Amino acid sequence: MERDSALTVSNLTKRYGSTVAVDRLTFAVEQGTIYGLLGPNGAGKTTTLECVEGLRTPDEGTIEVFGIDPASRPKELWDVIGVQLQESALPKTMTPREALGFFCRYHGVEPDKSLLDRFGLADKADKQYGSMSVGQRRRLSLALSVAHSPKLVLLDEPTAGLDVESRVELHGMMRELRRAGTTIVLSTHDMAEAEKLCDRIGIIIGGSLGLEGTPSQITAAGDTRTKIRIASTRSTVLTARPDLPAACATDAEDGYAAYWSERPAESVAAALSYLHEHDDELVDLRVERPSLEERFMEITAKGGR
Amino acid sequence: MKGYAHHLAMDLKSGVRDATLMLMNYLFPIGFFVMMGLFMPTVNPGFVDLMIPGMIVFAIMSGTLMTIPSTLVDQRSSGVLRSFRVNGVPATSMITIPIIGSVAHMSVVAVILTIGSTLLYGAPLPVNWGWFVLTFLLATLSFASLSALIGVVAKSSQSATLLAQLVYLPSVLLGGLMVPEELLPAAVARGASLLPATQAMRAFNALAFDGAALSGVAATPLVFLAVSVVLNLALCLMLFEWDNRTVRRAHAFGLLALLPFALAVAIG
Repeated sequence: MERDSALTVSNLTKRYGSTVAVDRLTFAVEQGTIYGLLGPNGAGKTTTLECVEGLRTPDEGTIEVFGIDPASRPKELWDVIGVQLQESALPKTMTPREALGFFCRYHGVEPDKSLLDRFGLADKADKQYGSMSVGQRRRLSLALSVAHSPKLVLLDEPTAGLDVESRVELHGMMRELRRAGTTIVLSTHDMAEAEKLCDRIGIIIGGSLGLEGTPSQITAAGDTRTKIRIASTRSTVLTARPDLPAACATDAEDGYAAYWSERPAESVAAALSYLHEHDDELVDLRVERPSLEERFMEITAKGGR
Repeated sequence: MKGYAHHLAMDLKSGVRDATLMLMNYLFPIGFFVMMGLFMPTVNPGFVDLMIPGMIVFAIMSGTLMTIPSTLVDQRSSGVLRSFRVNGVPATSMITIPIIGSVAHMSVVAVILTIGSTLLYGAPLPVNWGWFVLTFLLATLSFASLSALIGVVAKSSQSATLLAQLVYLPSVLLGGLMVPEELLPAAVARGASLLPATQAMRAFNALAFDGAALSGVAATPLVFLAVSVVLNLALCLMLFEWDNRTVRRAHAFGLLALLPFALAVAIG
C-alpha cells in the first residue's frame, strides 16, 4: 500500500533574473521515508529546499507540505518542518541549552531536555556556540531542527566538512528519526551517504529531475555490466586474458585481471574452470556492480538522460 | 509571547556576555566619562553643567550606533537570521528586541553616569525628573531604531560602520555634548539640528535641567525624536531582509529617517 505524501512538488520553477535555477521540477516524498536530493553544484537543490522551507517564493508550480503551501502559510509550515540550512549559524554567545529553549518557545513547545543528550551534546550544553567545533555545531543544528518534533525534516548537506566519526554519528541520528516516523529530505553530495540512508533518490540536473528511484533502481538503470576482477597465484588469467562468455577484458588493475560482464555468474564459472584447467589457484575474486557514484557520474555526464 | 520574552532575555544576557557589547554598552562610555570628568572642567568650566546629559547621550550613541548595526549585518551574513526565520522568529522581534535591550542597558548606564557625575564632579542634577526620564527614553529609542535601520540597509559590516560613524562623529563634535550649542557658529548650530543628539541635548537642557515650562519650542525636540522613532521602525520593517542573497529592496528609502530632523533644520 502506498503511503501518503509528506511533500509534493509540482512543476516548481524558480528564476534569478534570466537564470533558471529550478525548471519544472516535480517529485513527491512519502511519509516516514528518507528522500535524497542529489545533483552537481548549481543543480538547484538548495533553491528547491529553500522554496519548500518558505524562504523563497516559487515563480511557477506548487508545493505542498502536509497540505500546507509554504509561500502563503509560512508560520504554519515552520511548526511542521524542521530545517538544517546549508549556511546557518547561531549568535556566538548562545549556548546549546539556550538555543533549545529559544527555538522551542517560538514554536510554542516545552524544550525536551533529553534532546541534547541524544545528540551527544549533554556535556556541551553550556558551551558558547562560538567555541564549538564544526561537528558539534552540526549536531546541534540537527538537534534544533527536530526539537519541536516536526513531521518533515529538511537537511541541506548536513555532513559536509565532518570527519568520518561525526558523519557516522549523524547517519545514526537520521536513521533513528526515520524509525520514529519522521520524514527526511536530504540534500547531499555524498553518494555513499545517499546509498546507505535514502529510501528514494532524485537526481537533479540543470534544475530538473534527471532520474528518480530507489538507490538500487538508479544504479541498475545505468550500465548493466558488472566488473569482475580475478587474482591468482600464477596470474594465468592476467597473462593470457582468455575469452570468457558474455564478458570482455578490460585494463588490468593492481595485479588483477579485469572483465566487464553481461552475465557475471556465467563469466565467473568460466574463469574458475580456466584456473583449474591451468593448475592455477584463485587468490581473490571480486564481482562489483556499478556504484551509485558511478551511475551519478554517468547521468550527470549525459545531462540527466 | 513566551518566545518574545525568552528572546528578549537572551538579548539582555548577550549584552553582558559578549565582550564587544559589554565594552560599548558599559566600559567605553563609563571610562570616557571618568576621563572627561578629569580634564574637561579645567578646559571648559561650563562642561560640568552639560555633564549628565552630554555623557548620557554619548553612552546612548556608543551603546546603539556602535553595536546594533554591525550585529544585525553579521547575523544576516552569517545565516543567524535565516536560522531564526525557519524557526518562526518574526521580523518584528529581530527589530524591536535589540532596541528594547538597548533601553535596558542604557538605563543602567544612565543611572551610573547620573550618580557618578554628581558625586565625583558635582554636576547639577535635573530639576524635572519626569522630563529627564522621558527625554532619555525617546533619545535611546530614537538612536536604537536608527541603528537598527542602519543595520537593515547596510550591505556589509564596513558600510554599517561607515553609516554609523556618519551619525556618531558629527554628533559628538556638534551635538552639544562637549560644547554648548550657543558657542557654535550659527550656521553650524543650525546644521547640527539634523542630528538626533542635538535634539536630545536641547530637550534635556530645556525641560529637564533648566526647568522650562512645556511650550511649543521646548517640546519640539521631543516631538522630532518621537516621530523619528516611529519612522525608523516603519522603515526597518519595510526594508528588513533575512539574508544577503535575496534581491535587495530600494534601501535609499532609509534616507527618509532624516525627514524629521531635516524639518528641524528648516524651521531653525
